[in-house]
Amino acid sequence: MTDAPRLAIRFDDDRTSYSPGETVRGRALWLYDKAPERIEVRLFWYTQGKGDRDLGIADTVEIDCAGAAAGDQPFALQLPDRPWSFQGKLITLTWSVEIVSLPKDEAEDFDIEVGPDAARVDLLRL
Amino acid sequence: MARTHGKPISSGNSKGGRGCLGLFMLVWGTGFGGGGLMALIGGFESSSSGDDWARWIIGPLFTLIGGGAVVFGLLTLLGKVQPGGIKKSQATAAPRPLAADAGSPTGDVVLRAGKQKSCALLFLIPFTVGWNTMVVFMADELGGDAMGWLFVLVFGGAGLAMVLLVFYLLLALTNPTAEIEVDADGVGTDGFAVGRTTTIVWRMRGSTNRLPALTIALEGAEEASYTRGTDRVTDRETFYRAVLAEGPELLADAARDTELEVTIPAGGVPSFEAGSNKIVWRLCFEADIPWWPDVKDQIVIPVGPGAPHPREELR
Repeated sequence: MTDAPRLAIRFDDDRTSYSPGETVRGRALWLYDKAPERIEVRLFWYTQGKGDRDLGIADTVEIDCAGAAAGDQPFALQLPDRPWSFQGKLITLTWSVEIVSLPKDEAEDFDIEVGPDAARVDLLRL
Repeated sequence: MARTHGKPISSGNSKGGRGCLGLFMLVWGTGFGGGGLMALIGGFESSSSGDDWARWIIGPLFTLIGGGAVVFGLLTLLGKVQPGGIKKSQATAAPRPLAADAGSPTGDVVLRAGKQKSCALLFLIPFTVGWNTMVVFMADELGGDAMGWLFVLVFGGAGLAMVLLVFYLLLALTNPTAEIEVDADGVGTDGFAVGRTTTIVWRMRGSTNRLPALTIALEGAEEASYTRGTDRVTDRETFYRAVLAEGPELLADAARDTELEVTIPAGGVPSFEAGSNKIVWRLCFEADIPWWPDVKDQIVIPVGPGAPHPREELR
């Protein structure tokens, strides 16, 4: 068994920045010795910084593994119109797409940026 | 950037000081209420001497406050009450719609400054009365020796500070209060939006005679709450401030409805409110009054994302 990630996400057009309300499209990839029971792809935001962490899941899709130990399936996740990715002095809000293998709860997550110019807003430069 | 975890981040939970605060309130309330009960029992047992009146005041008062703290502590431990914020499941990234606020007779939405001063007084007045009664009672019990004087100096000093604070807050209540009106039909439920200019109507309720000048400013601020020991602490950082209007001439307009344009800067973010983190936009009405509590009214305004991005509209 290797240490290489067995779960991965490939975003369409290699995009990692989006506008609010857009759809995040990509492919979920998994590679195991034995087929996982279920694979989920979740779109969520979380906060980092001085305050306790807050987290919100915006969208989740279940990938049809079809009993395959390895696979590659498309997904589409809907971004809401807010919150936007931002960085301030106390709070940083980050959007992420996470692929989770169940019931092992093994996961890989990939940060994306969500903002009006498909970029994170820097409050310190306002 | 990819990260691997034993556990998915999205199934994580936010921390909270529920246990610490609940336990603290439980212990504190037991001690405080126990003291009150002891005073009550003492009042029952002792003869009708001259100073028993103090026991009859302190006993029920402390028992009530302590009992309340015990109930609050138990509820906090059981998760029925969450200190310093809402439960995560109730967290929302969207601001409260303007429609939720009280409307004016014209159908516009009226927003007012918070009532923190009145709320603080509701708690502070009974607490100050209780504290100072206890100090008088205890000082009488301890007598006029060095220990008694030290007690009066420390606890009496704190009691005096509380009386002064109550007096200050009562004076502040006589200050005029800011109020704004927003056209609900014209701006939808978000009211204000990033990059958009909104016209509001503002006024000051109450006498403005004491005010030498007035400043109206728009502020954007981060608010982050966290647990430190048994306390729930909130740090605030203002990331944007723009003075919209200022000067003594504004006072002539203060009593009547006056229009003002408010522009949320294009590089900003919409309001955001979750359990422990917030982005707040507010209109600040400020006036420094010599020898009197200053006016520092803050009216929180809900800021939405505004129009969809052009790139999105093309899809």
